[in-house]
Amino acid sequence: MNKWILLGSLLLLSGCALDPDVADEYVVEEKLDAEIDVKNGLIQVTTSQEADVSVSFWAEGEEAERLNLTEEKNGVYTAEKKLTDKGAYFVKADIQTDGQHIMPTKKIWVGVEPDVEQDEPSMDKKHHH
Amino acid sequence: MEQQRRHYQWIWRWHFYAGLIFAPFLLVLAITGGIYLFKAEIEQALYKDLYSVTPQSEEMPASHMFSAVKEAYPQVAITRYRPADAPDRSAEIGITNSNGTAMTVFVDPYTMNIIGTLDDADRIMDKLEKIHGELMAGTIGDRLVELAACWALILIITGAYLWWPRKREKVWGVVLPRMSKGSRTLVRDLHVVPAAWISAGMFFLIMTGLPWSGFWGTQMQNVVTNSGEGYPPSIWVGQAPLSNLKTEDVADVGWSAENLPVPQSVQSAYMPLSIDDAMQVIDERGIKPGYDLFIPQDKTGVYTVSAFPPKAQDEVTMHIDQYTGAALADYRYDDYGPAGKAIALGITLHKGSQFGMINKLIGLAVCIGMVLVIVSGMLLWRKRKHGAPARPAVGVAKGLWVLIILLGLLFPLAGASMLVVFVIDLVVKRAKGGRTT
Repeated sequence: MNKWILLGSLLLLSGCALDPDVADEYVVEEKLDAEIDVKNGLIQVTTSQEADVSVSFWAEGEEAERLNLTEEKNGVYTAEKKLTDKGAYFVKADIQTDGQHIMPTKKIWVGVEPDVEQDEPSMDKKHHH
Repeated sequence: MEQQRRHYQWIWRWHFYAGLIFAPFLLVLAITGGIYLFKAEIEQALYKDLYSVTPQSEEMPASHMFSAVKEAYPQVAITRYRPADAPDRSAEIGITNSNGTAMTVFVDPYTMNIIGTLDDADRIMDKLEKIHGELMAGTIGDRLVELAACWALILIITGAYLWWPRKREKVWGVVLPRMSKGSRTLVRDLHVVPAAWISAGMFFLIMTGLPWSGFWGTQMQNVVTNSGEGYPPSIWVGQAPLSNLKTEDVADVGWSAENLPVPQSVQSAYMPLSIDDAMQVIDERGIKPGYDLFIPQDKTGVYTVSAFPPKAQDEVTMHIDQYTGAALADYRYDDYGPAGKAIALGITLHKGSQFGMINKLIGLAVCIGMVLVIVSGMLLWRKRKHGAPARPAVGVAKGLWVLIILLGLLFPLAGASMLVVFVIDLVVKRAKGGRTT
């Protein structure tokens, strides 16, 4: 009788670890991601799927401006931007679909040392409500 | 008839010893639980000065409040933000200082004045919760509470058997205490009758409390979550998703020299989402204040919205990528599986918040009843003339074994402890047998 109880308890306790993919058993959010590339006087935003996209740009501590975008091919948006002064700049893409709203932001340093601090998120001067 | 008497003796003996051993634990659970029901009311009174602010027209954005806290406490990390959930309520900002002490800063959302700071370790209700959940003794305490809860189930089942009226149409001594039959009968009735009245409530509190337990609760939650019928992961068991870390921290950018007057290094990096953008995402998803927003503390961490308000139906657990603001997971009550919904409702009923004051008062009545039952049970033991009950000479019926094994399988911790009792009982029997022969 003892052995039986012990065996039963062990059986009950084994195989109780959480399945690593268990999140798939429940509601899954739409996947939306984007890349921001700054190169050769161009700012390029590539989204992982069809979305409404706008891009704003500002020099650190200045007002933001909205950039004119051209969509060359699906999901790739380009704006021209020439940087002539030393300093730090921000590019923020605002991307919306029915299920997601993402706002990736990139900081650009021209001729200055990058100052990245994990616990000091970017501050967009214009968008404070 | 003889068979029945044998059962009765065995069950009474189990009830006697289990009651004696676990009475102190159950007493602690009943008293701390009875007080904890009124956590909201007690904290409202205790922290009135920290909570209340004078409503004004415009609330400041979270980033301004964070700056104010950073200015007052330059060396701390901000870990948590709880927006004001009423016009006259302060906002809370959770901080951790360099030696790991967690504190809460109460900020006026209109003036950004810091009203006061509370060391989280000093919160009386949190201490009470620690006693209720783990007797302030960490994992060992957690297992002891779980063991006491499981044995309380055994006490209810054995007690119900002992209480079951063996003659028909009996009221006195079954559902009403006999007042004029001597003090022993009165104490017996003051144990048995209230216990019968509150047994359903006790059973409910134990079953709804067990999902919290570290051993049985975690195993059960794992099984139920795995099945797809429970809580989605990261609410009770399982990890939160991670933020999608893009490339290295700072990358050189191929920027042709013609754009710049002199060749210069151009570098770029993704920045974490600002707190105000995170708040915008939360707002757009229709989540109303009354939640805690946990701030990512490392590069792959996420913003986590966690709301466990009085009603289970309003619960939210949401994880936001700290670089893009994408909702990586957004779980509401409706997204829980049927078992998850049942556990969630059980928890808010256990805490007395689901149906407000009436819910709390019913919980309190059960707690007071438990104290009465425990005290009268101890009195019954003190009043006994012949000490502990002797081991019945004859064995236990098969049906009883099935019940014991089933309970032991369902609650392995209780099962293991029953096994220990069983072995001790055998050893004692052998030792006594050895002496007499």
